[in-house]
Amino acid sequence: MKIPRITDALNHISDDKITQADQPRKKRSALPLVCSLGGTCVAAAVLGVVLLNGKPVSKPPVMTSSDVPSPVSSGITSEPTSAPASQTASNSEVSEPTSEPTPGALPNYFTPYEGSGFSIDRDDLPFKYNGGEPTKISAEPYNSGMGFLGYYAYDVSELKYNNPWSEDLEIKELPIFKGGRPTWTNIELSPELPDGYSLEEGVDIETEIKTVRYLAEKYSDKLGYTDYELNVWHDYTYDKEPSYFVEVYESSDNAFDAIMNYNFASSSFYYDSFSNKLFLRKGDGMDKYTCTGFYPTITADTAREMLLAGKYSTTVPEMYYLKDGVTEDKVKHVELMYLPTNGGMVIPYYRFLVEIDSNIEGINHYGAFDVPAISPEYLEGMDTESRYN
Amino acid sequence: MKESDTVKLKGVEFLLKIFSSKMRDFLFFVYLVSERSFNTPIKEGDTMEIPEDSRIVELFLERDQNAIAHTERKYKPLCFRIAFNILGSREDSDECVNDALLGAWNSIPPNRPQNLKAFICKIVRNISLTRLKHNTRQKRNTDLECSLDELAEVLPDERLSPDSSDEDIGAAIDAFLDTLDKTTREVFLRKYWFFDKVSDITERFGFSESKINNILYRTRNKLRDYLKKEGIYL
Repeated sequence: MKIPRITDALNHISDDKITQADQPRKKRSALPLVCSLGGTCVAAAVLGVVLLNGKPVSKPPVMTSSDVPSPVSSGITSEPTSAPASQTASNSEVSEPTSEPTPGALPNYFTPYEGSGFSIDRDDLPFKYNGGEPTKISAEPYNSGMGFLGYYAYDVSELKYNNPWSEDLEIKELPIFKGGRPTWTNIELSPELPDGYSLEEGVDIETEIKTVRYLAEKYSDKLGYTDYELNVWHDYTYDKEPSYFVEVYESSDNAFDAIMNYNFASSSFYYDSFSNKLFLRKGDGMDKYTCTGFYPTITADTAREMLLAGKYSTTVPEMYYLKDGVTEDKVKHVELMYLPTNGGMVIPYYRFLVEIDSNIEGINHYGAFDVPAISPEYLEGMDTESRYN
Repeated sequence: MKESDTVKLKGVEFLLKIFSSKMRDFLFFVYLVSERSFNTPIKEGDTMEIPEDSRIVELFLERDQNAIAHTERKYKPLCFRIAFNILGSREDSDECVNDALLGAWNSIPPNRPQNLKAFICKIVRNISLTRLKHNTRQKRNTDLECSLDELAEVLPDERLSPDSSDEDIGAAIDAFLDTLDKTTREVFLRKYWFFDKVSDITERFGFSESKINNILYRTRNKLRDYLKKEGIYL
């Protein structure tokens, strides 16, 4: 193959430009499902305050909530006082951290989700469904083969995401889907913002959150949501720099609809410095997904037992990072999320965050371990007696 | 013995010396790789902490085998991605990454890179491009071919500016990149340095594909104009 001369010449550009071009991007608004959901792998930690039928959840959904230091955890404890009533009426009213951050830790911007429970109305679904019945499927998760899913944080409570799922929801079945991946439509907005508001590269998280809330209110007609929930995803880069991404999804009183919106139809705002334009990147929803059936689910507790029994999938290279295997004390968090499989399906998994050996001094490292959330009798093509990573 | 024969013998002796030195290094590297593969972690009490790059460079300078292990743990995914973007073959990419580690082992010292990440990336990019040039049975990689065709529009071959070295042209491109805003520069480098697919760049920056293509098109044109102005496109 003929290589143009400039290709070789490019290898002589300065080192700084190369490393700068490989720095993690703060804005990740166009990530595919596997990545965007990967970034959400910690939401259950923030759902301790989810109220079901008007009652506070009696226990946090996090397996090891007692392990979670309190400074940034006011949003993840079961204290109902951590969820001011004003937060339920309008997200725009919630703009300040609910607690002082731990030194070196990210502030807590969690806005608790409130709903009346989980129910599926098959006559009013947000996706195509032709009445198919469950059949056996392969649940081997899609793996791009690039690196592994690991997150740096001083504490697992920093890895918070506004997942409407919680362990306390009574979920008997969930839909699985064929094909598709999230798509978005870019809608150009006026780039003019009031003083103090900005989405430019490098703005602090407070400004970014404030601006997203402002835009979500201002462009609620374009967004088309009756109300929205804010997602703020946090973790740290290899250089211990905080990394975050802010998005919104349509909230719902029914946890089922909220879970679908959260997984498949999030939207975000981004500013393009190249053209000085501001865009709403609106999630296209679930039009491209076809439900192939509603599958019986297992509980997070059962999934946890499977995890501890070694029946999980992970991209974490255990020889480096988990020499003693997955033990109960290292399992720090669980949430439910939809992930693509190698077979072209999108199915629900329980994603566990397991504390793994950190390769950076002074910061913890959490690896993602997945267990299919659907009943094992419908799974094939994987050895359920051993881990299948 | 004639004087010319003596010179020849000295030459052979010199070459053997070089060869044995390189061979020793190579065999040692093979030993390191095999030990790393079959006995990870390397030794009892080995911690999983990866030192700062400056410390890893010192380990290279001290000929400490952990330098290789740390570099691999820290940068193998990135190196593999670069190689894979160029070669599109898992096996070839693995070999290139291993060759790059060997290259780092052989070149530090005498080199003492200030930026180990860029250093190892450059090595693996070079090795992968070299392999691509000579791999006549390479599977077609449409994305890469597209990138190379686009770059050829800017500066196709040595017929242009034959007196300028690649290093000189690289310096001119470097200066040009300084004139761009950060986002444009990074989009350009992701495409033509890391050889990322446009779809990957789209995901990385949150732009549409048409927008990325537009940025790349405009930047290529600007670069060609810049190189002409600098007397390189002659």
